[in-house]
Amino acid sequence: QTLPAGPKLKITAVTQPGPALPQFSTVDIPRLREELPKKSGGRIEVDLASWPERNLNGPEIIRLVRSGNVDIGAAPLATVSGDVPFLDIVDLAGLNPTIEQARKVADAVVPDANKALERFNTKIIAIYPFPAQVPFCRTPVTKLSDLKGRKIRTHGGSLNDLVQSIGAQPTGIGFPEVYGALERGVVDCAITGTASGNGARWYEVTKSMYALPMGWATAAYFVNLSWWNKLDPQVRSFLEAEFKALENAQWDLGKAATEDGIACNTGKADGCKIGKVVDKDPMSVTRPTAEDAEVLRKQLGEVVLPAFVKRCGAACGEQYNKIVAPITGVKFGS
Amino acid sequence: MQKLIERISYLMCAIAGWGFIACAVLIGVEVLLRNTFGISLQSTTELSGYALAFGISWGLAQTFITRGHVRIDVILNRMPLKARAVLHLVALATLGTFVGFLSYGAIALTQESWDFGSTDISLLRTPLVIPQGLWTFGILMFLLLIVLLFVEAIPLLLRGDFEAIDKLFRPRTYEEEAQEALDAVKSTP
Amino acid sequence: MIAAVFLLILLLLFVGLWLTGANVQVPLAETLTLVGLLTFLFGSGVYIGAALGILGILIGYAFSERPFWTFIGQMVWGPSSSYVLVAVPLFLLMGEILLRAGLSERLYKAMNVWLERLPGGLLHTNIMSSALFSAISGSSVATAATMGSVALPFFKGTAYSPRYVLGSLAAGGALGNLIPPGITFIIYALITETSVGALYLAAAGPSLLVVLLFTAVIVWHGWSQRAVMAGPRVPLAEKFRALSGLLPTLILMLLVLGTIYGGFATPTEAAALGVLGAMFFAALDGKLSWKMLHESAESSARVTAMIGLILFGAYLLNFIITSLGVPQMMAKTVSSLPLPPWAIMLLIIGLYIALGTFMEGFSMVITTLPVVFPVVKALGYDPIWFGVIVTMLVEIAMISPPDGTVLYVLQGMRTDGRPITDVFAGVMPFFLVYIFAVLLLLVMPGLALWLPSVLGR
Ligand code: NA
Ligand code: NA
Repeated sequence: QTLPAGPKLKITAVTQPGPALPQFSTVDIPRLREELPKKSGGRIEVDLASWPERNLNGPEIIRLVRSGNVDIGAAPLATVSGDVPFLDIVDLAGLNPTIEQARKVADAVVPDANKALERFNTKIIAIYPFPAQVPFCRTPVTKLSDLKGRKIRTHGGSLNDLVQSIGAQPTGIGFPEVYGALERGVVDCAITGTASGNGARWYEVTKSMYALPMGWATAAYFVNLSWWNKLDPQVRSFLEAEFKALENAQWDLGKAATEDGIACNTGKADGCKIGKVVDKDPMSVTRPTAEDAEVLRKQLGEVVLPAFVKRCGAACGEQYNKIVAPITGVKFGS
Repeated sequence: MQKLIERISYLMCAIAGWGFIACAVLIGVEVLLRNTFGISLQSTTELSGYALAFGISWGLAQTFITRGHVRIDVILNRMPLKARAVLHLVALATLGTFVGFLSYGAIALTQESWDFGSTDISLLRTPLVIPQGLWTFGILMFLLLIVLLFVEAIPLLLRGDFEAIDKLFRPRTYEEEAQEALDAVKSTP
Repeated sequence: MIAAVFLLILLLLFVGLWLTGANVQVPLAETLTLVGLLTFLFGSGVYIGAALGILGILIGYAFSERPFWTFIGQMVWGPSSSYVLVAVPLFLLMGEILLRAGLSERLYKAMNVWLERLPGGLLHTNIMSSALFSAISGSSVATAATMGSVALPFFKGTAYSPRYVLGSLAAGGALGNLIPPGITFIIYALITETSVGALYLAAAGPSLLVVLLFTAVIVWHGWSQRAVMAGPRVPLAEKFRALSGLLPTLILMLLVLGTIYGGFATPTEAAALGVLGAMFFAALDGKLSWKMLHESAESSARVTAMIGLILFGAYLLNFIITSLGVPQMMAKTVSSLPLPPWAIMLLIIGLYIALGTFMEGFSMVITTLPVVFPVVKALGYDPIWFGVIVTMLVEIAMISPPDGTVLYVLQGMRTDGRPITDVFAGVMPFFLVYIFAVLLLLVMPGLALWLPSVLGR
């Protein structure tokens, strides 16, 4: 799709938790900062930055978009769920064993999520994953029960409920500080995407990775609704198409980067195309067992879902059963 | 009125300080429990962050009263009395404007958290209006103090009593503070 | 003010280039307005926090097309509730308790017995203890706040020059990020794809160099003042007896350092343990009371509020200038000037010192590096070496008068009501040798690069 000539539009966007993440450097930068102006015939220009470049921590992204200080913001839904608890539904810990299912759930939830976001004068225009969220640990972990008693950094949300339910201690430390905390053993493990941990060089300070996907840190691009509705319809549909393509690119990246991150961190150069291969002191990785997948499913039904409904309200439980349960096969309250 | 607000400011500052002691105890217990029994209090990271926010804002007014907020008075101190008095008021006006913006922002932030029932994303899910509301209150008290000082200083300016204005704002020396402490002791029955 | 001087230099360069016929636009009016505004706000005795905040608000209204005022609450709530900064009031509290229990006095008396005949005497302990503290803390403000609250009361009423006391404490604070660990290195490594380990190793030499230079400044000052400061000779037996005065503080330091290195606690947690430890030792001496705790609490709350107000202003300004893209723009301008490599490097150094005077180190590094780093690499400079240079510049900015955060923190902790010029004058020699160290590193990169090359990182 192309755009006919018209008045210029300058878009401000703040996306992704760090400038070194592939979601930023291989998708957002080329597509938004470089290609969008060209494709739009010079009509659109994007002022793009990652959170830390604007001194932001993440939980305030929806408010930032709502305030009109940026037009587009992106953040994992769990991170901003303090403002809109319903958003957690997309990526509850243990909900989605595969990225394919994560996408099905995400696509199914977006209309309801946008209804919840209306009060915030915001709207989701694209939804995307990070690589599988797995624990990076200082000492060997080969099964879920090895995490018992450890102090684990999470990015908040339902992951905290899961971590606590398996006998570990969740703790919230800002992403840039996690490296130092792992380095000195302030936390024993930290959960993040396989490739995200590679981008943040956590392989320098951890030894072992347990490749059990606890979630996908499913995230979204939010727009300021009044801004969006006021756009020239041609521009809006152009942007809609562009973000649809960007969404597909992000899901492809999420899938590719999950295995790529594992290969890179374990020093396998032939499987490592996106991240940085670890030549010296590569990490050890253990593939998940069927029993542990079952543990996740059990905790989801017994702990994670009830905790989610408790903070989101009974209606959320019904919405879950209506929209999500048919995909996941785990019902709430049964 | 002035005396009352000074009294309140002192109390708020002391409470802020005790908040830090409570925070130290909370974190200390957390570290001990974690390293000995492997159990952890929840959300100490968030809670101690709130203690800091609370501590900063509830101490602002008292810090102003004790001339604790830093200004660069190199040139100021070399000015003649009249100019100095005017510059004191300029500084107060700038501070008032800044704190006015802060108050507006803090109220809007708390209002937003209230409207949307926002919480943090830790296990405790603390409703953000609590820490943000307390924080906003401290900033508002600071603003009130600044406004009252202005009200006190304007008649002095109109009367041309520059000495009194200068006395109101110039940094207190050690002797003055000691004298005030003595006065305080004497005035308590 | 450094920022104003830097802007003027840049302006002169522009005019010079323009006169030689180069195709550059001279932003004369904007630059002069900004320089005038900076000069007025910092010269007229406006409160620092308000000066920074009002500057941000004015720039915002003048240049921003966004409703930045709707986000002010969030801009200042962030730093207000930051877990990392919690360490600051806790370390202050520890210092206050130690002071009121008479423990810090005992520490300094004991050190005094040993060090006083050295030229410069006790001033050395300011640098040494700050260096020690920097090895656990990545925060210059926390380092200066802790060491200042312990040391300042002791020096009151001694013959030591208040300027050098304050100057050496400020200088000590500026080691916080340079001596590993430090967050600047971690951020630098992430953006530039260099190794954190290599940066830590590379920082060792320059850290040592800076500490030695600081020590040299104090020795030189001591020699010129030796008639004033020399104390009586103390017998060796008494010297060893005095060591018992060191014990509580040493144990406390061990507690704080040991828990961090042992992986038992974060710096914030260690600060909390420090408070509990200080209370324990005060109780042991029979000095712990509600009244004493109350006074310590109130006093540390005041210093925290003082730092807090400055942080409010700084974060507001920081948000507005980063959202306007000012740091990137300036970095781009500096990097693209038609000048020889060494001149570009000098301008980059000036840029970091100037930006650092009113920006937070973290966001300054993260916003400018993507622009500056490729240029530095293209000019043929070593990435690891440049990481150390950037960190040193961030530290220098913290102690550059008249707008360095560490300086305000120290001024805020004084109770004698004397002007901030003491702090400015006192830090000058240390500030100058710090810059000298950067220039030395510019000429002899081996100072940083030798160790990583030997250890093969
Ligand atoms: Na350090
Ligand atoms: Na400075």
